[in-house]
Amino acid sequence: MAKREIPEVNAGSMADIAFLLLIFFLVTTTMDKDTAYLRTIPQKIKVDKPIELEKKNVLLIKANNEQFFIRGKIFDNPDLISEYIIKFYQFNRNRIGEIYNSEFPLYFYTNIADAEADFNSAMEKLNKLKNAGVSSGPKYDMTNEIFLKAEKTFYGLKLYGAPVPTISGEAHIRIEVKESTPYSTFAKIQAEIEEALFILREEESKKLFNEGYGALSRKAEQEKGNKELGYKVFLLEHLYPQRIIEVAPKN
Amino acid sequence: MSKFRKGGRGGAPAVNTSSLPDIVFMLLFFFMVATTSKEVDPTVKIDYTPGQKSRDLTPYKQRSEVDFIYLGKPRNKSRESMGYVLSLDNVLQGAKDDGLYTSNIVGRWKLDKYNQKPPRTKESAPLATIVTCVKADKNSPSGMIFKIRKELQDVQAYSIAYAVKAKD
Repeated sequence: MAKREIPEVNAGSMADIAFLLLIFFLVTTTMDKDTAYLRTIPQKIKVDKPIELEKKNVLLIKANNEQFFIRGKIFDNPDLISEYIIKFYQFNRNRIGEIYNSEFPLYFYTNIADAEADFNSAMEKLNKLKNAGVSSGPKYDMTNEIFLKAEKTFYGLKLYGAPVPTISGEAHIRIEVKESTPYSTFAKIQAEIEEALFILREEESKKLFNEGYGALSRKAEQEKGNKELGYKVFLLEHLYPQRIIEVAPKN
Repeated sequence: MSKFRKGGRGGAPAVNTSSLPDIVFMLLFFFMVATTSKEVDPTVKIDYTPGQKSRDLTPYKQRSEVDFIYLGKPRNKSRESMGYVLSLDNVLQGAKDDGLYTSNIVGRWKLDKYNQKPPRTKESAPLATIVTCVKADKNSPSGMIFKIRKELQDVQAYSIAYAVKAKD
């Protein structure tokens, strides 16, 4: 029997099909990114009496339809809010242990020995579970989560190479706006906070790791498995934590 | 003389287009990777407020871990009297006379959306971590943002994002 050649498939219309797909995707997609400020809503807790806070630990930013107020004083230029926030974070950073009377939050040294002890005990607990043959389930997940957190804390703090200055745990930024305040005003405050924290972390990051915070955190997000990057980002966020309270507006 | 000219007048030789599909496919893949699919055109008009150092939500979109709420004035002229309204999946949610919405409309919407997800997705991304991005018009009242926020808190969807237009 004679060998018959397999006829070639005509691929001439391939380009047409590909063009069609290309045009479809061109039309249905967008190039501009969605950008936003990510925030976490606090959980609801019932307390009988609100905790008394020291005045110096609260940075109150108020706004109504026309004006911004920082700690009760009118603030004319909203672009300068970030500078005030930077001052709020940095004022006492190099004054640990000094006797002073100030309107800005105090700094302390974080005890790395405590972090190490936490890390060791968390590891012990995890190993105990593993030795008992448990490697999944809610109990394992919870223990593992605690371990990962302790690990990050310990190694992150260790990266600093010296006692870690830490802002008072109470220190936070409080946003109060009126119900009718335009969203742009509210977003402006958020933007200024974000900018201030970025500047602070960027500066620190360049000093510690010779690399910007923006680049670091982007890399850390892309390489989730890279623990070293995770520690670095943790340390920077520990040095300048983002603590915001958004107060429900009144009329 | 005409020894080398055979076959009379031959036009320009045809360009080989066999690599055209490859080129086009390359373009296609570029666009598939570099872009994200468009959200439905919202029924409300939104003029974004600018903001610096904002977070890019693309990774959340790719993982389908973000829901969008639109807050603005209706595009439809006949509904302009409604003022600022919420648009949940392109359904307008107008305020009643007393300024309140149907109770927990945002919370219920969020829960519904979550419950429709396949079980495996739910396991890897619990409700608290799924971002709710509020895209609000720059003149919309902040009070409405806080109402949304409160309803999300009630259903324990703790991640919120305030949309801005990136300035740098």
